[in-house]
Amino acid sequence: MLFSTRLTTVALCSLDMRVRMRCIDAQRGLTRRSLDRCYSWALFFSSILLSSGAWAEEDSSGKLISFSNEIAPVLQKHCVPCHGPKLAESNYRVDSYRALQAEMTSGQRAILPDLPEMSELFQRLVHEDSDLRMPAEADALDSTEIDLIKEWIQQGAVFDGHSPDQILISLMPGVRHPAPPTKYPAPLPISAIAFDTESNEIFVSGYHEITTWSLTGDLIRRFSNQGQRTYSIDIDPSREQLLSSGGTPGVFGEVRVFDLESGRVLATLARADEVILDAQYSPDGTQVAVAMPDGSVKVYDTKTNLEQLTLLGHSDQVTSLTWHPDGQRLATASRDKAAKVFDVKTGKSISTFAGHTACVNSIAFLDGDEVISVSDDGKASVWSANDGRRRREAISGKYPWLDVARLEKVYVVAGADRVIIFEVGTNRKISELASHGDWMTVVAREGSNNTKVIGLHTGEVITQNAENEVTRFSVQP
Amino acid sequence: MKVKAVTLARCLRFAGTLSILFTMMNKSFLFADGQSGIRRMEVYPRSFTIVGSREQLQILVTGTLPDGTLVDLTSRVAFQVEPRDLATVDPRGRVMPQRDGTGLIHVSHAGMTEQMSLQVKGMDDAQPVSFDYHALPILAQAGCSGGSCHGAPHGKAGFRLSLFGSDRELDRIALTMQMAGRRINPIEPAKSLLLMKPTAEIAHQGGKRFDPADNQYRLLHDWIEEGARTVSSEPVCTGIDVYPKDGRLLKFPNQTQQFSVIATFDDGSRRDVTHLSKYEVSNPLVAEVKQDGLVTGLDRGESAVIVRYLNHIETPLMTFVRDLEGFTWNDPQQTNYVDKYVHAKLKQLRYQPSPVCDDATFIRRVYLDTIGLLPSEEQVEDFFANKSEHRRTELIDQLLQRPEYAKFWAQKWGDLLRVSAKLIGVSGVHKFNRWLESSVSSNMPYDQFAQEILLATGSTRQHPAGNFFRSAADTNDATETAAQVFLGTRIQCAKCHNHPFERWTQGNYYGLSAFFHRLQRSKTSQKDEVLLWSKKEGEVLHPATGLVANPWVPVAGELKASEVDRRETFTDWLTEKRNPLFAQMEVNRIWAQLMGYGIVEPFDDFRDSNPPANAPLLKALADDFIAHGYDRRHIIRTILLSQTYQADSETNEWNEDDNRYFSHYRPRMLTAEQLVDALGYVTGHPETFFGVPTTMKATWIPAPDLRPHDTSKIGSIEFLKVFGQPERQSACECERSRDVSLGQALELLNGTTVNGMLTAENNLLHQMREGGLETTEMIQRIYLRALSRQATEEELQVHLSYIQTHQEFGQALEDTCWAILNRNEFLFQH
Repeated sequence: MLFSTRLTTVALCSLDMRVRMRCIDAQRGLTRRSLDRCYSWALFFSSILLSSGAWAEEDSSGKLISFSNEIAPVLQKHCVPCHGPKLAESNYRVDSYRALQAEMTSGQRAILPDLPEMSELFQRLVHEDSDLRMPAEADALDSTEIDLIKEWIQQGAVFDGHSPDQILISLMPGVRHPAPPTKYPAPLPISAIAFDTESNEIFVSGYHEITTWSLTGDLIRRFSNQGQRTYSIDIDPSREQLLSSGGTPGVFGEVRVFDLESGRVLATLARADEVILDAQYSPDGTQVAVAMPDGSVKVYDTKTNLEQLTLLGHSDQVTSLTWHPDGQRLATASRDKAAKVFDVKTGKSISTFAGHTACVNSIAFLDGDEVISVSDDGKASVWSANDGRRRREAISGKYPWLDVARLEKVYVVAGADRVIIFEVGTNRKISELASHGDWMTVVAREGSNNTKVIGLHTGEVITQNAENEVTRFSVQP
Repeated sequence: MKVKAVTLARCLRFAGTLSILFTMMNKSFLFADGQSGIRRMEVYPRSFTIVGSREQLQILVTGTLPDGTLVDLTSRVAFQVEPRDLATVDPRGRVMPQRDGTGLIHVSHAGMTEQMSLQVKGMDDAQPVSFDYHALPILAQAGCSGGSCHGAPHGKAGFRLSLFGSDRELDRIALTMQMAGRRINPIEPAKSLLLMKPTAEIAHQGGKRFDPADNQYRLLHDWIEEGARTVSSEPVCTGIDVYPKDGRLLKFPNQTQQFSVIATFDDGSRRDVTHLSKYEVSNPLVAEVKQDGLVTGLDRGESAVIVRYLNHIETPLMTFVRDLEGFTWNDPQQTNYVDKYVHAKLKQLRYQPSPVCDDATFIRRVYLDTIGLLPSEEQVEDFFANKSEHRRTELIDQLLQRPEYAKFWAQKWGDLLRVSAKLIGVSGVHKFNRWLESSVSSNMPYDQFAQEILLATGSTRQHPAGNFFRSAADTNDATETAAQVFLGTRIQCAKCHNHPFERWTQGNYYGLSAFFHRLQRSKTSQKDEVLLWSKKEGEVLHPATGLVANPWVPVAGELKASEVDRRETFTDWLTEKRNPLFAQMEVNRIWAQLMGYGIVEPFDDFRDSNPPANAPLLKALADDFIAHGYDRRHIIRTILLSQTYQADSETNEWNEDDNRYFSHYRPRMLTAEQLVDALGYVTGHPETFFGVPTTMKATWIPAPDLRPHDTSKIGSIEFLKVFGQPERQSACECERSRDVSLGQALELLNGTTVNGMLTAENNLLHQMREGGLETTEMIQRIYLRALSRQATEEELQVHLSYIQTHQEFGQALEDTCWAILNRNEFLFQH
């Protein structure tokens, strides 16, 4: 019965909002404070509906149009890319309800509640002149989408979310992802790998799924209801949950938590308008750090699934992060060419390494205060977590280095053309694996018996055991 | 009733327009089709072999009208394939193969028939989409890898492609590998970012580039579906044949032309790549081009069509003409070959040249262009008094012998060669300027001029021309400056990547720089002195390949360079009579300085995609220049003598919209230096400048920075800056600003320079008052000085009545003079 209760409450809340919205509109001089007070009512009502941090998956289809469920997805898909945080065309943004309501440079508001025909937001969707019609340089929206927006404004342009400052994507309804193909028509590049030392299973990124494989190349399990691509897989220390980040490139990103036993989705932690490249459990399993595409790092409490902390400092997508074994520090790599170390307690940045000249792809803690970061610039640099100063260049090459993993006694640097294994402490090169032309996109993870697992662009993995015996097999259903 | 009448009239007019439109349409149809008759019809290509089911062929059918003009008949003819099931032809002449075999395509039109032979092979062979000759050209064609999008040096939105697909390896990694292959979806190809972005299925800042129904989409989709193969063992494209070739003339209403592009590969195969090529026009006011290679003329004129497939570029020039009702060529007089070629072009494009200007306009114009100064009262009076038929010729010859001519033209060269105190010191400035001035006054042949500059060796104090290599202080700078000044080539882009619009490659840039790389610049104990000498070794390395760049020049290619001094080899080639660029660049520069804009415009930007407005004229001038031993004064004289130069700036009904083909004189504002000198002469209170004798004119100042810059003082130098005097930091003529600004208006209205001249104690106004002149006489003198003519009766009345109504005569006279100085007729050369 949750469904109907929710609908009623939304309606109540909306009615309330409508009155207030009108009153706001009538008095342009109204201060921001009183506007907030209006919203806080909505917040009060809507908070009744929302379970902590997780999104329900059903869709509402009542008469009253839901901003969160119906309008936000349209705006997110067609408008946010040019009127959002990345590129606020004409200084106008639509990536949150608050932004949508702000004055444009003309001094007008784009939405006049109850008056779609007078609202520029609507006018621009149906403008006769294709130079003025939105989305710019593209076909007009579907008439159903236009009608929806018109109707929503007609109904008072009501907000039904948690807070007007929430970004749209966090308002949108949860998604039941399409089922993965039974059999893949073509190999999918491996973008994430994990190794379960207890069960000796290799967890591999699939298409709308995560698959697990034995060391002999047999398919064991499939975790479905997952976003199109998976960019990180982590298993919590108590071996109860599977954490994954991923999404649909260019469209959507999320972090999902699966029950390791049943394969059921337990929660969706974070969401973004671009794929999320990394999410990792803290060493004690009480926290999860998420590498967000907007350059922030979010830390969640695994008990409540609530966001605890946001770490700011990167100016572009965070590509990779790693916890220090002490659980106090996080190292992060970003497309902004920088790598950083944060103090998770204070949320402050401890050091920044600015020595890379291209996207930093991965990062790992070595012994002492040393950090290693690998980049598209062909360098794997070792630097100090305390002051960000470069200590040495572990390797320098022509091709990008894509991943680095700290294993127990060794660290593995995976690059486009080869994988190099170094000994921790001595930094001695132990062995090197050439790719023979294939792009070793991903990751190296250690299994039992010191087995290293490396993912390839070809949809295969390479394993190397303690005796340096190498096997290579496909991990495509 | 009145409203009704108007509406009715409007309706009638509208109906009239409609019927005219209909008549035109009919006429065009008839003209192309029937009665007046196509005399001849040709099919291109005559025969072709299509290999593989993905390939196609664009047929072109060209008709000849009785007057000899050509018509593109491709979309008007009927095609019939024999045998029928061999291939299909759509109404635009595109052939799609259906099965293996040989046959004919019959083309018929208005009773005429032609045919081409067609062979189809390999229909059953798998033909995967090629990364190199399908995918990359499509990304260029759709604009994805253009310089303002993902082809920019840092890409766009985190996605970088090489400029127009010039670096396949970079593109291969970006498209298939980067970010774990995020851009292509091997499981569901249609969900690839590479397809959803350009079709705007998901929001794309670059907008919608193609539609799922388009050929481009189909090929990219299939490429992904087939596994995004990027094998590099495929045949390499060695060249393209573009048809129609250079120089096609189309006449309205038959102003459309389909293009065909056939690529040849190193395995000998030929493929039609019309649908994969990228098309642009050099003059979007004259023509437009669709993505499929259909060019449509928009107006009379000329435009190059820039056709690109992979790194191959062709730039055929197209001319569009239109018969204008009531236009008859009035066969104006011609002084010399300049008029001959200008008139030929004007006649072709149906522009009627303006008649020759009057004497007052001429004398002012020719003084400003030759010596940079206004003619004095006496000079104007003498000229009017001369009743000789040849008085204009006599005046031109006199002016070109005057010392001011050398000083004025030396300053123009100073701009280009960056003669500035900052770069070569104050003594360097004076020495270099004196050298430039004497090279003009002695009429040093231009080849010798270039040689003395480019081969300067030893002390720059003894060889002031060597200061060129102090302004151009390193190998790259010397390469770029030499290319721009002497070849009219802006090669800078090619330093970092292949030139986006031209054949210039990065290799060419470094090949050219190899000539200047060994030049050494050693300082001596003397201030402002540098010793120039050439090392015997030292190579330029191509930054991308790391290989030694061999000395290379345009057209001739790689040269075996002198062991003694490589610059000699370059200069020998440069000043070689067969080198067309050297002479053309200089005559074009002279032309632009006299006419206000070049035959090639911008005048130092020679490239295939920037064709000259009148190629025969440019060639004739260059030939004449070479034939006269690179005599610059001869070329200046030839141009000044022409009717074209002496044409009025007033336009007529038949040339008012011409801005490109020299049918009338184009008025232009005086340069900063000319203006200061003119103001000084009219007011009788010339400006003085820092660091030079007080008698020196602004148009002779050797460098703009002899006075140390002082922001707290807004004086004469600042006035020059406001009016566009260049800092001489770049070898580009464009550094001299021609923009009109508010600052200029303020300077003229109430700036200290103008006001100071008008109120100075001993200026012309005071002298005239002390000399007891009549008011009318005073006004006439101001007119004669400022405008080289007498005031008209009407103008006199305006001024007199103003002066009479004001009590303070001195003030009123200043106001009058001020008003004249603010007239466009004064501020402009016209």
